[in-house]
Amino acid sequence: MSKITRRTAIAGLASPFILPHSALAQVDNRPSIVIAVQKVSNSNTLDVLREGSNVGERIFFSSLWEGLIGRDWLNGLGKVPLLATEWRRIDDTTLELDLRKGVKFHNGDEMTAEDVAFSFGPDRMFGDTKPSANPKTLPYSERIPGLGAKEVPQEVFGVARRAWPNLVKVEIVDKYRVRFINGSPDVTLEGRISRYGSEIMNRRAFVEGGNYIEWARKPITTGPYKVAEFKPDQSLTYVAHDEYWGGRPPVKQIKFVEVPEVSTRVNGLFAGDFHFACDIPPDQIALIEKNPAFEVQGGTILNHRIMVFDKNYPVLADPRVRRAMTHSIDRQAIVDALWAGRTSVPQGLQWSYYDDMFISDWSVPAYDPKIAQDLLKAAGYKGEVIPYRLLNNYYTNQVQTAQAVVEMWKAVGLNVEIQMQENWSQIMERNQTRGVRDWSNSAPFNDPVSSIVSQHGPNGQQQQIGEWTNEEFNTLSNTLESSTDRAKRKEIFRRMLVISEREDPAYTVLHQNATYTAKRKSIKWKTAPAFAMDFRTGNFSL
Amino acid sequence: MSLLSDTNVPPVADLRSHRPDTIPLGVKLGALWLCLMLCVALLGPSLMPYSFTAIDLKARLALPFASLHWLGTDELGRDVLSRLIVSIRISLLVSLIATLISAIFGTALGFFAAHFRGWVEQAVLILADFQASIPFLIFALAVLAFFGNSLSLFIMLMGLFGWERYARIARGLAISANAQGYASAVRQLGAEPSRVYLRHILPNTASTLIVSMTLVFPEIILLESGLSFLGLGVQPPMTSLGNMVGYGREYLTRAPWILLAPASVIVLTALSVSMLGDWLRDRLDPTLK
Amino acid sequence: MIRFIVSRLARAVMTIFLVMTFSFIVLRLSGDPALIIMSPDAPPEAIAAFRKSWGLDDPIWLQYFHYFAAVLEGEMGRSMRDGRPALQIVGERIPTTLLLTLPALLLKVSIGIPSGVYAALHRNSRIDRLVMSFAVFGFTVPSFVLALVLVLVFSVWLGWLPTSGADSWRHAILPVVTLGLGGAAVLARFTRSAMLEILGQPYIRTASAKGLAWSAVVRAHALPNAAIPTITVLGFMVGSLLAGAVVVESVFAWPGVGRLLVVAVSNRDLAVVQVILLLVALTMVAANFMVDLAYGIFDPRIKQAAPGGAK
Repeated sequence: MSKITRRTAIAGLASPFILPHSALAQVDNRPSIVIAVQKVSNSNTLDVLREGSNVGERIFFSSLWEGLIGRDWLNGLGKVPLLATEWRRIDDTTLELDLRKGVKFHNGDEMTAEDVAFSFGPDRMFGDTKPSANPKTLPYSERIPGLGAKEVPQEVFGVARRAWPNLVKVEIVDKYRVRFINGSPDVTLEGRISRYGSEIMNRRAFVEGGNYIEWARKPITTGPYKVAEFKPDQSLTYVAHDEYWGGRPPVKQIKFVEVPEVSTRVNGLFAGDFHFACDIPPDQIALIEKNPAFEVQGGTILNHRIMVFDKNYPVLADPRVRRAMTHSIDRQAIVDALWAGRTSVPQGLQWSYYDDMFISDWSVPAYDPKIAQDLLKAAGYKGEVIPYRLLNNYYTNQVQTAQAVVEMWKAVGLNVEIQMQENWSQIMERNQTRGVRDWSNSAPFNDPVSSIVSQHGPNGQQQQIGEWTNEEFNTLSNTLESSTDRAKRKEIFRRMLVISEREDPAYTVLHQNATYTAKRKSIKWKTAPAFAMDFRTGNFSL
Repeated sequence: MSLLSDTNVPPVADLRSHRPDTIPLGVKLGALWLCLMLCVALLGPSLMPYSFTAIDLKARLALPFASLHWLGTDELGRDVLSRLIVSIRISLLVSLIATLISAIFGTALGFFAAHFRGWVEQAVLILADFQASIPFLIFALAVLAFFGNSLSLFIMLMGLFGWERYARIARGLAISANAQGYASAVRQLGAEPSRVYLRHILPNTASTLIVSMTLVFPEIILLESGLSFLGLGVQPPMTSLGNMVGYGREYLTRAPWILLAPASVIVLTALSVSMLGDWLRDRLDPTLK
Repeated sequence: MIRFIVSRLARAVMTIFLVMTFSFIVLRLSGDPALIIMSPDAPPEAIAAFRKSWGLDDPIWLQYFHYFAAVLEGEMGRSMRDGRPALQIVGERIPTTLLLTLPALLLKVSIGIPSGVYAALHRNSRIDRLVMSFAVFGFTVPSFVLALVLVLVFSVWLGWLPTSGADSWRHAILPVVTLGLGGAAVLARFTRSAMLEILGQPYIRTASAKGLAWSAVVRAHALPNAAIPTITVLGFMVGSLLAGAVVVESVFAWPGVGRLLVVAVSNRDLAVVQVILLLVALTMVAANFMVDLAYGIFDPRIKQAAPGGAK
């Protein structure tokens, strides 16, 4: 209890009551805001390598954690300099970055190459895991002794190694310059540096602080806001980090509160309890906007809702049945009806921020019941049951979408039966009744390696749980990872899309996922096409 | 343990016997409503104007009476009236069978406990304590997570709701009946124990048990809606009253008919059952006669 | 009496053992916590590491053994989500929940019992019917529907009370009222039928015939006897003080034990669920125990039916 009192006292430092004692202080008339969310943090930690979820993205970026290369949240999500000001390729496996000078951590320390190297070091990131192309453990001398007590959960190392399968080390060149050395040629190093999980933390706070959990609930980073109080499953309070390198943040205090019921979030917004209400289902938009004082900002996010096939299920072994399923879904009708037209049907499992890797003439299978019926006839399908394992609204609109799609399938003669399940282990359980299931795929950085290879490739979840495999696809997948020939990579990616979305469907894309945030109209703030909420200078004023 | 006290009170005739034999209006209305619900449940499919799963994404959230849908449509453009009819069918089925299962199972265990006493009785009481001390949410989740959520399983699960109350009541009633003249008289005449319980003790305790059933019945309907709120009730594409209320709650302000239609059926049905139950209790309960 | 208490205690211990075993088996077998806590998109290596570090790879009987060995040493385990001690996590929530459930219990009793008694004494009167209609209504409206309607009226339209959260006493009003109204309805029905039953007993008529004032008869004979079944229901209500507000806490985002239970169950956060169930079972068993003792005080005849009593 005393801890909380101390924290409250710290939070209270910014309050006007004690300001007269400080001669230097100006009157702090910046606003404090309250944001209602469905979930603050799934893992009850604030560690980017432990909480890798969408809700984590919302509380972390761009308020708490910052990486070397950032994303332009409000303009197309491209790469922008953040804690690094410039970077250059030394060769296919090495990238050199110049660090921003004068960056202050929340504890007042200046950020240096030491912090960067530590953030990508074995004690924080990789543990005993080895780069897959260079299976050699780091010499023990490079590790900081006495850190065993930190007890970083083993899964953190697993997550980190998946994000950086071949990173050998981050080398300190001088105080403000580092080199990333990879075990194999990789054109996506810059992308990986910009991805969720590659952020920088203060070395001293990690080494000197208490155990891992204490640290993970109040990490010391460079972001414009710092943790004042974190009550697991209840609320998270940030206060402004006034020494932020990008200038004094515009909000004095941000409080995220966990409100699981949709109606309660909306009612609280109307009643003035909240400034923002997140995770608003599309059907609430019209209702909220009927009130002229409020508006809903919506954003598609870097995540596609897909349906996944088990090609070992006897009825689905014939690709023509799966193809029929992909051709009989009226995706646009779902987007119009269930998403108020506020999201879109993407061009397959890719995102436009892939830049030169984006295949602009590709699309999802056309909605054409005639094609579907012909395919079914050719495959000799006679109305055999296809089981569809479903979770209760893990994704927004999931149950509604499933019921709509099942009716569309029924219209072409496909007999798909919904089987509600309790949890993911039941959904994935490998047995005779696994047919179709729901999933969603993200692209953590702007290259297909981050999505199609990572999710459906030989090491991806779909193949690991034995739903689908394709020899040609797997060969291409490996080449895509290691090739540095950009033109060839693009052709490989195109071929992979043809295989996994047309010839031998592994999955089919339904629509891009979206998240909607309701807010008071009087607040000038713009949402990003992501879960992230940007409260830095320039994107917030009353 | 509820109602245990009635059990030890010997049946005595009430002196205020000049109660009019007319049935109160409320009870009549209640009975009428229940008959209507039963008819709806029995005739279900032939009354439905549409298929209850047929979606029409272009006619979502249509107002009642505004189109060809008397009670409007839901978030997928499905006919609320048709869904309501199926829901009544399913919910009545679930609550009726579950109430029966719970009553039979509980009463049987209660009689066992009363007959054998000793460790059998202790075991039954421990089981009853166990059931009463674990939140039904956990219990429901447990069973559903193990076996999957099929309708028949869901009914069995709901059948476990409240059995411990019958067990305790039945045990208490049987013990006090055993102590009374008629049971031992029958036994001394050489009747089998099963015959004693089924032919002599059960009829004498039936009224109390029936009254308890009218209490449990609406509770099961409500429990089903509570479980639906937590996503554990009757599962889509099947529907039930609780399921409709649970999914309809997000539309309370935008399309209130989705929630109000099933919610009023729940309230009216529970009201009718309770009124009928109270009346039956007054008529049947030996302690009140 | 001592024999009764001893056998009752033995039963309590057995019950708690059963509750713990049941929840252990169910939560362990009904879904992989690693997949749920790490999210289904987590890399397989991370999931494997998670399972290993929490001992989820061990055979279930070994896990069960370890679990009970630890419990006997007073170690209730840690949350798989953030590694904090489960007892501490649950302990933080108990006062918050009691802030809701205790006033609600008070509300239930102060509305439910008097109106039940009044209705019984004025049986078949207009007021009786009114009270009973309200009671049935209060008991048949699902609590989340009642909660949403109260919020719409008192927070959104009238702007009098906050919609959710637990920051001040004003935040507690709506959830307490939601909980209290439903419970009061149940209690009113029970009290009424208990009273009616007693009022129909011959000794009441006898007492009345002996010339005692009706109010004295009610006070001296009817009320104490009618208290017995009412106490049973009250015992159940006291027993559910800890986890009886699951739905209401969810609607009002009230950070109590009920919310924690829902979150912990859906995450298969075993240690936390175990601690909650243990505490709930303990309260329930203790409440039942007290009810049994109260029976003994109010009605000596109950010993006939009590285990270990006269046969």
